[in-house]
Amino acid sequence: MKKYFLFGFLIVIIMFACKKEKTEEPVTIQLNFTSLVADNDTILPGTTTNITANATGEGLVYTWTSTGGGNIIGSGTKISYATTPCMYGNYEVQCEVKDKAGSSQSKAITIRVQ
Amino acid sequence: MLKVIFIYIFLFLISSDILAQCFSSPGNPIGGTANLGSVEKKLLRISAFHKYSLSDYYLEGHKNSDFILYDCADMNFIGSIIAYGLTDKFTLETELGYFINKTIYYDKRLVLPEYKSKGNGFSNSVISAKYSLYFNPDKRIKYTLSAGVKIPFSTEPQYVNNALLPMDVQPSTGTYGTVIQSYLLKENSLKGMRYFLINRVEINTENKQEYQFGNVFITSLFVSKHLHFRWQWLTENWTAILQVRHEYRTKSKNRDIEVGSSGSNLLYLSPQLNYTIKEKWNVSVIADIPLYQYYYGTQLANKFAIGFNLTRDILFK
Repeated sequence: MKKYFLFGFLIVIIMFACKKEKTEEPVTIQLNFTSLVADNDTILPGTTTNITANATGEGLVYTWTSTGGGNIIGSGTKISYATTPCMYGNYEVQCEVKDKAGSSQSKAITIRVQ
Repeated sequence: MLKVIFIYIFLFLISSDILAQCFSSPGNPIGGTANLGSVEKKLLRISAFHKYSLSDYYLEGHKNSDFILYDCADMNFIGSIIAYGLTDKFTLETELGYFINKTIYYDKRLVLPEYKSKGNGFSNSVISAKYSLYFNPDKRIKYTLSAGVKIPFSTEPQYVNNALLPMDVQPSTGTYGTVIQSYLLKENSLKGMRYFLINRVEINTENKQEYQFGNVFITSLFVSKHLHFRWQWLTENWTAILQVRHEYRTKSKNRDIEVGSSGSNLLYLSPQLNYTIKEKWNVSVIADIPLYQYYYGTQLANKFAIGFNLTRDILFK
């Protein structure tokens, strides 16, 4: 019984020891985050505007964040930004684009709510 | 049967924390009568609860609003409160909680196709020290004071599909806080009645996103009555509890600027029915019915909440 246990333990150790380290895949198209555009950059509380990120590269992942308030609806290259009640002023929506090699670029856009 | 109940409570405990609240306030909803002052020495009190809450209309102040961002919002929360009596006067307590879901459904008139934002995960935990300041066994009066710290399970906001979730559905405040509570208990053994007055203050600090949820002031008055009817065999283990609860929330702050549509003044009526099994287990069902709701700005208002509560006392000799 002891032998089987030791054998199993050894197998587990070898599996972890032989685990390949993740290597970043080479890319042929360099990441280029060209623009971040809103359909309307001035909106009313309780309304939405579409925001589109234009970027080229390989295996792109878009991460959206809003600071100061407002809701992000959707994901990917195009989202809607919705404003909540009594929300007035300037609010920033950021988009970070990351490619499969791990390179990233960010842009932000200001939405005016009045 | 006991095994099933044990598994249920265990599942609650491994998950974690909540209290009753307006929808947009992450934190721990209050779970019925489980949270009642200090316990006796070497007594372990384990309480687990589930709460469902629905909000489906906007209020501006106390008047209906025609604002249409969300169609409705709901949440399922499971929580536990574990208290242990270190001495007859001193009790240590932990509150833990987990949002199974905290979901907003956008109004189809504004957002098409149908879309919802759903957050889930651990809320905050609260670790408190309770001290029984006054106890008069003849008059059956007890007063307990408690101070605790609110600890977030994560200080990072939650993202879904790489998009930041709205603050309304974040499961945790993402920051530390302070919780002060006091419990006044008066018993009338002859009439089988108990009266509780509970005050709770939660002070929140600013999180990493520079957002500070408003402070919370809750006052609850409970009256409980052990039921005695003609068919004693049917009613001897039942207790009816009526709670009137006032919740006041100050406005939240975003980068030191008050958030217009935040903060509220709410009054609830919470009837509760409790059943005792073999003098060890207490099972309760509870409902939250809004009597009066005033929201600063325009906010989604609570329609109702229902909850289930399970409590077990274990005395270590």
